[in-house]
Amino acid sequence: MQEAWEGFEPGIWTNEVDVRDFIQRNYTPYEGDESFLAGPTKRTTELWDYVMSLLTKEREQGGVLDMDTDVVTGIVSHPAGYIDNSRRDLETIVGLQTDKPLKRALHVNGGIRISQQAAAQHGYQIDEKIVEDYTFRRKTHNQGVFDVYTPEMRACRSAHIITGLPDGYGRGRIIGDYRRVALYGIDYLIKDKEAQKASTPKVMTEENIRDREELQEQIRALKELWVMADFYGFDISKPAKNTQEAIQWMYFAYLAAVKEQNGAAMSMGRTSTFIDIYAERDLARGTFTEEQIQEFVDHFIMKLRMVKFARTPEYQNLFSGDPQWVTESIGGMGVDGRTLVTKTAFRYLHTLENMGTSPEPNLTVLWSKNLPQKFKEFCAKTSIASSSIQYENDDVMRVYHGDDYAIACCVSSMRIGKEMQFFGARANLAKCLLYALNGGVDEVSKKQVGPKYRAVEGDTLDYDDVMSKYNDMMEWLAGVYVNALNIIHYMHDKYCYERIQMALHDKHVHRWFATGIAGLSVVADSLSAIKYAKVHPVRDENGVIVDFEIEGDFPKYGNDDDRVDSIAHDVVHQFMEYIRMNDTYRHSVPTTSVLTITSNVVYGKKTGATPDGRKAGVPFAPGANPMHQRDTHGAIASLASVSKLPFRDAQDGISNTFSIIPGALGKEDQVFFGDLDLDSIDFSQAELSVEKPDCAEC
Amino acid sequence: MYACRAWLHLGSTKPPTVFARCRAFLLGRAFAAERNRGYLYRVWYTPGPVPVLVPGRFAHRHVVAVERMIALAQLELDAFGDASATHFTPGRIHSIETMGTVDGPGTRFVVFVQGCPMRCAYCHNPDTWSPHAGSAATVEQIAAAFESNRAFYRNGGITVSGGEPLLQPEFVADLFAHMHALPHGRVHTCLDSCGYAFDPEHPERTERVLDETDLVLLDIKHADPAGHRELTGCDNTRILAFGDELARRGIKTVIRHVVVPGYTDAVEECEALGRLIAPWRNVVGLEMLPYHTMGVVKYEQLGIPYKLEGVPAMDKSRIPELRTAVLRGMKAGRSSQQ
Repeated sequence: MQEAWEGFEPGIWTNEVDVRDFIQRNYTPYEGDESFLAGPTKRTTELWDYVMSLLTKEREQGGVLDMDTDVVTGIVSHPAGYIDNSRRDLETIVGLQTDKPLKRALHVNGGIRISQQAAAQHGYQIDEKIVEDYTFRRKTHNQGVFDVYTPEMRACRSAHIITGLPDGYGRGRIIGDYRRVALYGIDYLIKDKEAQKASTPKVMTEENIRDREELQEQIRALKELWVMADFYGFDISKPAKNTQEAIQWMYFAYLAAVKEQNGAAMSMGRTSTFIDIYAERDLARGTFTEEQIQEFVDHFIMKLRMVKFARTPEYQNLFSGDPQWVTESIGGMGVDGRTLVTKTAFRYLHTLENMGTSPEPNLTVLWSKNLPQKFKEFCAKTSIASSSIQYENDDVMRVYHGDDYAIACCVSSMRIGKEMQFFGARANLAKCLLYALNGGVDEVSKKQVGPKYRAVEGDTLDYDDVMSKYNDMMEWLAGVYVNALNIIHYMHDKYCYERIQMALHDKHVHRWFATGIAGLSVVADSLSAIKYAKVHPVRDENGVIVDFEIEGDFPKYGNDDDRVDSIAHDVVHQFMEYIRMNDTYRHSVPTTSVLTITSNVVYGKKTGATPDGRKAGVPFAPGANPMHQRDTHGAIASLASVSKLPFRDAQDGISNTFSIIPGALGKEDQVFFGDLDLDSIDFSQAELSVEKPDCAEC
Repeated sequence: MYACRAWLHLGSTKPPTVFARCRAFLLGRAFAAERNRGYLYRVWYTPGPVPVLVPGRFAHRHVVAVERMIALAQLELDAFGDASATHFTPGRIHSIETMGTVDGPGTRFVVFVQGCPMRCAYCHNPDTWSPHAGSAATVEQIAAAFESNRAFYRNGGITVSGGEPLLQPEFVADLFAHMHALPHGRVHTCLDSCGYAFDPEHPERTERVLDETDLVLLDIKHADPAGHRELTGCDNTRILAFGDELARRGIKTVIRHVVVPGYTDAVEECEALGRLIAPWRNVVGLEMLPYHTMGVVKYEQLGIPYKLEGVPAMDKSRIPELRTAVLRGMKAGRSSQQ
């Protein structure tokens, strides 16, 4: 065993790349409380204050502090950058996307026009030479896609029945196993990739040619990563020897990814249990103190908070702001029943106290009912203080992804280094229903966008008739949608390949082909209205249905009512079946999601009135949420409706966004005398003692 | 209640379907039948504060209906025995809240029933006053809705609020008994009542409900009888009698008191309230609810004049002081008893 691995339990991981095996053999589950945690060091506070001042300045300048216009970003595009160049000693974890803090890099491989728009929005102009190069000499992903799109795809795109397609921005959603760099060092990983390349078949089919080319690109990216670390004075060719190095190596790998890709979600993975193994060893050896380890973690998280991209106004509309989705998954349970919560899980969450609250990185607790009680309590406390923790159901996801998966973006789960995802935006199923009613004519533009199927006739909509037409239209839509995505991912692989992220994956990667659904609750309620009430279409002078009159009441999704919840379930299942009927790029496995968290507003704006009584242009409910104010039985009934949707069809995630004021979660004031235990309240014992100090007369 | 009597008559442990149907029929006709001293009465819900009991125009029909019910029930019992499909009286409900967190301990399934005899000036649910609105729901329907999300309520239970639950004692009694006997485990039951529907001369009417009630949230609107009348339009003797009955039975009770500026926010009033509830050894909690104005909008929608127009929301910072005052009164009341 090499020196860096001394004290670690050997196993499969010592002879091949297997981070999970390393974790399982070496980590220490922690069931205790948070009392061991250390506060921020002076350096941390000084550094973070400085970053805060930069962020304030950035806001004052309208959102961007500085931007590159003449250097195209890449792993080795910039020299070393520091938060405060005059005080480099403050930073225990180093590395910035460009040469200066918060300076936005110039990403062009996704599409040069998009980069120009992003720059123009903030008053910058990209160097003419670069524009020329990426317009005439070097093709981009965006250009590749539009070269191939069919007229039908373009029509669907501009009618917004398919929206948010990653044809002009980075698809993201891929998580490199950044831990590998820390555990094995670059040399070992390059050797591994070279062996993979040597093992490809010798018959040069298109597939094998692509594999070999990609593997070579991955090797090149790993070498560049080594060079980038060298700029900062680190030699990462060998494994990390302690906690600080492990975090630094891992962060370098992530930094290389965000230098190369401006993805819609650039998530971190699941690193706390991994890092904890080094922390435990260092604490035992006396290499570092708790304060130092917390400082490394604080500085690492601080760096993740500073990840920024240059983005266009359209992008910001679609995602309601400028999120990076640097999601870090924390905790969860192992398949052997031990918890994966370690002291470092506490340390990660503790950054919210040490440096104040922050939306990024998106700290996500993988929640299981079996998590240690003390950890649950700490999560609750931190949530109350910071409102910054995301929780996801580990008990559901572990069944499909084992215990070394992480969340990309907000809910997309994948095994780290073994699975990746082709991100796929969404199909507007509410608009699809209107197409079914109007025989493929768009209700807004009045153009024939979909196939010229027979429109509905008569004065009252008939459920069976509508359903059969809707199924036909969904089948068509799924076809156009999947094929548009096939083009997109082909071109993304070709012109905007995630070299370093894929270098940190196994050779055989399981690929998910993600699709998405928008407007589910609108569809469910509309079909319920057609089935249980009387819906009369209102046609314009061209015979296109533009509005509806509803007679009578109908069950509404969000009230735990099976009559309509089953409709929502069936629509998801049916649409997924139609998706599955299509060939998907690179043998990827299709899945879908119901999780528009912000873009539902944009989708709603482009969709006409629907048979549920929703007026034209009114926003959809987010994700799988019931429509606004239609859930009248309280939160649990609403959640129960959502929970009936089939996860096996929508494995990429189902979201239900809801906010709740603290008062609605229970009484803040004291009600009961003594402990709140229904069966053992003894008033004579607890008598008034709580109030005594205030009572002058006693 | 006729259903109950007829059912007792026939010696069965469960009232059969037909009673439920007849009861629904009667309710459907908007009859709220009350029996008083051997005569049939109708409850008139006038716009004024006090419901008026008037001998029913269709009193004779009630008698006929009851006789028919007994006859039909006999037929049905003969045919199906106790295995009749629907056993219970349906209730008239206003709405259901599946995540109730303020009406009793834990997360609770809250059934708001329709109809209330009181007209409290600050009531924030005036839409539950009329006994004619709302919809019918059976015990089975409610239990099924509860059961499908039971996991959420493991530290809570079911609460019946309103409206006034004791206007429908059979329904609430059936519901609570059913919740206690559910095969997947007993459910904690909580009754949120103003107590006004309790008749001290006929405690048997609420007997079954109280037998099945684990916790009562008892609203005491005002300690002083005159103040009580001014605020709610009703006398408070029945309410205090209900409190006595709860104490006699030893049912755990949380006292609630809405604190309205200028009406119920005087320290003396709160102390008096404390003395009033001091004898009740079953009181396990005290909840001071600061008056808020969120209900005003409903009055506008319903076209009902709002009596507390212009009264500001209660300043929450005074609540601890007033709570202490109640407890002080309670303590004083107890020591003077000893």
